[in-house]
Amino acid sequence: MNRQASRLLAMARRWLGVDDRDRALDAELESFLQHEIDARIDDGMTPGEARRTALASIGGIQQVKERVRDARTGAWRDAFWRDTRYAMRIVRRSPGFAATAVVSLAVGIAAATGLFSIVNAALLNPFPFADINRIVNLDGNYNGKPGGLSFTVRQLVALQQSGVFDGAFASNSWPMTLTGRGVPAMVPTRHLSADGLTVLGVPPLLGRVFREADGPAGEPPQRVVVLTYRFWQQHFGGRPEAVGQTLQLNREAYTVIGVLPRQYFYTGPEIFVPLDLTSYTKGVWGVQARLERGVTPRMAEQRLQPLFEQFSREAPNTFPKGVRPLVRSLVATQRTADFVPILLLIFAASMLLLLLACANVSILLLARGTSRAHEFAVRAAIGASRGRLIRQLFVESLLLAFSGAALGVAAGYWGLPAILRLLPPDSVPVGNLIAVPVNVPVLLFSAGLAMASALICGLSPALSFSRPPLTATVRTTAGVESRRAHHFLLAGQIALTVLLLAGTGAAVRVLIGLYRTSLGYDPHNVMIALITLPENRYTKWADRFAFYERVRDRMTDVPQVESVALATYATPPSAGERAVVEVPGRDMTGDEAPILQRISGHYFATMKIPIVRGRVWSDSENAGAPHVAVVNDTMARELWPDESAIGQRVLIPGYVKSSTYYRLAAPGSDGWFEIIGVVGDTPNVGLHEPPAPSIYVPYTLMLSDALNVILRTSHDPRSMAPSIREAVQSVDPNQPVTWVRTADDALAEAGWARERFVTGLLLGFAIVALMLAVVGLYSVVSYSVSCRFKEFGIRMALGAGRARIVNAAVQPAVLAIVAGLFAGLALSVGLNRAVARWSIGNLSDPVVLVAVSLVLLAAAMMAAAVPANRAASIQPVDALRTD
Amino acid sequence: MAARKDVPSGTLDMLVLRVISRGPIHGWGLMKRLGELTDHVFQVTPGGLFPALQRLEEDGWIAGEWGVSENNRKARFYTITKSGRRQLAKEEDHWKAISVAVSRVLEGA
Repeated sequence: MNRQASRLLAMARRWLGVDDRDRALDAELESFLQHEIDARIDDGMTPGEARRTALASIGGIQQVKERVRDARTGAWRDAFWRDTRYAMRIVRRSPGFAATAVVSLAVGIAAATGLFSIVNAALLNPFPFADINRIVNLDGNYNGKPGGLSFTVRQLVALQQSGVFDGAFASNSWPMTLTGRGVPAMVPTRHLSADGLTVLGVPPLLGRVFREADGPAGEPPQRVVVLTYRFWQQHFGGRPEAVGQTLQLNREAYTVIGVLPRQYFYTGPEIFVPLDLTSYTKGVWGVQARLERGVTPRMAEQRLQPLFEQFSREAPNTFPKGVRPLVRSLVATQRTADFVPILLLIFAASMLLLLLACANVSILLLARGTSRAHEFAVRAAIGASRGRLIRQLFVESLLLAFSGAALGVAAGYWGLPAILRLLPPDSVPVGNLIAVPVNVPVLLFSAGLAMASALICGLSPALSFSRPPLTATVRTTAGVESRRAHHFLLAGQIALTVLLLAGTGAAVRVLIGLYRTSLGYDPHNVMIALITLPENRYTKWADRFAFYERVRDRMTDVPQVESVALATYATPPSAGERAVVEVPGRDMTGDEAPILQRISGHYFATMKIPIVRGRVWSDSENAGAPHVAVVNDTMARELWPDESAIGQRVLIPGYVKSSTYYRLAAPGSDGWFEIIGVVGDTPNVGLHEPPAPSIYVPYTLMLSDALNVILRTSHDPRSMAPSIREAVQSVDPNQPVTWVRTADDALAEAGWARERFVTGLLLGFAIVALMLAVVGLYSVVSYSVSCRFKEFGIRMALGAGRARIVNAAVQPAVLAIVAGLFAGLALSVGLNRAVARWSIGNLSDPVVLVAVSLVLLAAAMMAAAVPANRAASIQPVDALRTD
Repeated sequence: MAARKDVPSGTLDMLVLRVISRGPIHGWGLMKRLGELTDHVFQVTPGGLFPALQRLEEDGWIAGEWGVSENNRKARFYTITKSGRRQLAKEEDHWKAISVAVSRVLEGA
């Protein structure tokens, strides 16, 4: 038989479980021994003497067996399984220890894996588009930043034919009204050139995506629509017959031609229609392109330069002179998003948490290892080498770590939606993550984590217990050395816990600060409903005004509604549009334009914004579109520091312009306004910026196609969304409500989402870290007490008081805690500078550090109290009796 | 008797093959025979011999079979296979070449 075949056969036998080699080896060695004994008897020994000397000459049957097994092919694998079975028995024998260790590691691995999934989705694999690195945004370069450059259709064609791109398309987003399917609704819609989806490389799940015939050059496009998976599920229940049906969009019939797979456009638009380029006389924004193979963004910029120069020569009035092209890949844009450093910081915190879990398991293993010293000594005596014992310990750590990883990945899978809900809106593209929440990189990552955890937490126990002194078999008071290792680990764990707590404390402080920021209005019990009129609806000022007023009237009748106001944009913390305001006799060029807000007179009462001076127009005045205005405190102070703002006249040139269907100017508007009141400041450019100067005018002066209805209610307004929609439909059955949300939610989304995300996760981590520290500390002290049980008994018998015993029991742990605490505080202060750029809050804030120290010490006292109490209640007689 | 020495590494397998090539032999007999042949210079222990037998059998160079020994005890007898003979010839050539070369250096230097 040749070598390969016999190896294969041997392997097959082993896998089939018919490996009888161990039994054969036993028999062979027995035969060997018998021959040796026979020979010695022949030499004249007595049978007993022969047997004894024969055994001695062999030098340990077990060692021989062990060496033969090691010589076999796949020996490591057999040994591994043997070790695993052994480890399982050991672990089963102490379920409490195993559960603690596995859960500690599972929590750490779950956190790290969950965050890695998001980092992976945000940075490494952000969009599901084919060959993603070739997809770029095209814009003008304004000091390194995109400036919103628009291109005419002819220029777009020139770009497409430049040889730089494999395809280029324009797109824009605005909602369309869906009617004929229950309640009318506004559907977020992306309008894009017919080849857009093809250029992005989005395949259809059902039907087809757009093709050139859907949007031929120079003609209005076909009325066809492609659905996202989400929309398809929601409106067609996922039925394949959806393709070919029609949807009423903006009162026109659109044919459904296809459905996209789930991972595409998970957030954002819900439907896609071809962009009508014929209506873009001035130009289109939002040009995206797919680079020709082998062309880098830098090369593309260089090659487009002549084309840009040609554009500005041909159209000097519309195309800015001297602007250079800016080509940025979609992935690079995503990677430089504001949110990325914050995400990485949280990821680092989750890794820190895992490290803490490892330290904790290491402490648990050390404590157990010491109590297993006897077992190791026996195994070493019967022939286990040091490497063998290390391997055994490592297999045990591996078993714990991989159980932890399995549990952790499962927990991460179930917990991921919660983390995703906490993510600030539009901070991370999560389409890929939603489609495949547990994917290969994530699984590899967690397996790697488990491996590393096993190494980290198994290392120090393996080293300290693989060379048990022979005396360990007889000695039961364990080594001082291993207790020292314990306290060292404990101090390290405490230090890292302090760091994590300090980071959390700092973030919490920032969030509290934000909550405490004086808002200047009361967001509680306020509901905001946005009404967006379909195109070309209510195109006469009087009709539109009548419609809005009827909606306002109906809303007043809804039960629990205390006050109703109308506002175009005025929904803090971000509100209004910038508008040029001119004050006679004053040069205001160079000043930042104030924020203009169009409201009904009831706005301030409804939002509970105080009126500082003067008055506000009434609802009845509103109907006449009076030329009056109210300014906020900041504007009054900045423009008229030494005189009263009331009675001043200002010109808003934008308000003499003619009307379009989406902006209907009141008849007879001349743009001159008299200031009649001053109101308190409210945030209007987000929570992180001080309020900008702001001017409020009657919304009736310029009727927009979108209007916010703001309701103050007597109870929690969340349940009122249906009655609000009903009220709108009772006025116009075809009019959808775009969305209804509370002012609290708007505030959270616009202002607090990021801080809430960071603080929420860090707080979770900190609580787990603290629990781990408590478990670690508890096990160190109680282990130390049980080791020194006898010593304490003797000392008590010799007259030591209970206080002294407690002191002796906890003193080393207290030292470790104090050392760890100071190391942690030093680490926080030291790291503060390094992470200041990304972190939220100040790590060296004394208030935070004192609070963290107190929390930690309280937890430590709790953890040490139980075992210390046990030490104090030792009965000397019992202690002396043991062993 | 000269001081006992460990078998030079790598040569034990060759020596075992060589002894087995003379006819079927069991483990204990093999150990005794190796001792006699080297005039007890090489110290072959069960801890070295049995792993070597294990390796050779896995490589397919020897085959083991249960039989009855000269003093009527069950024992595992090893015989050399065809490929084992080829391997032995190869290893002997190799060894001879090396030992000649080493001797030359020792004599010449």
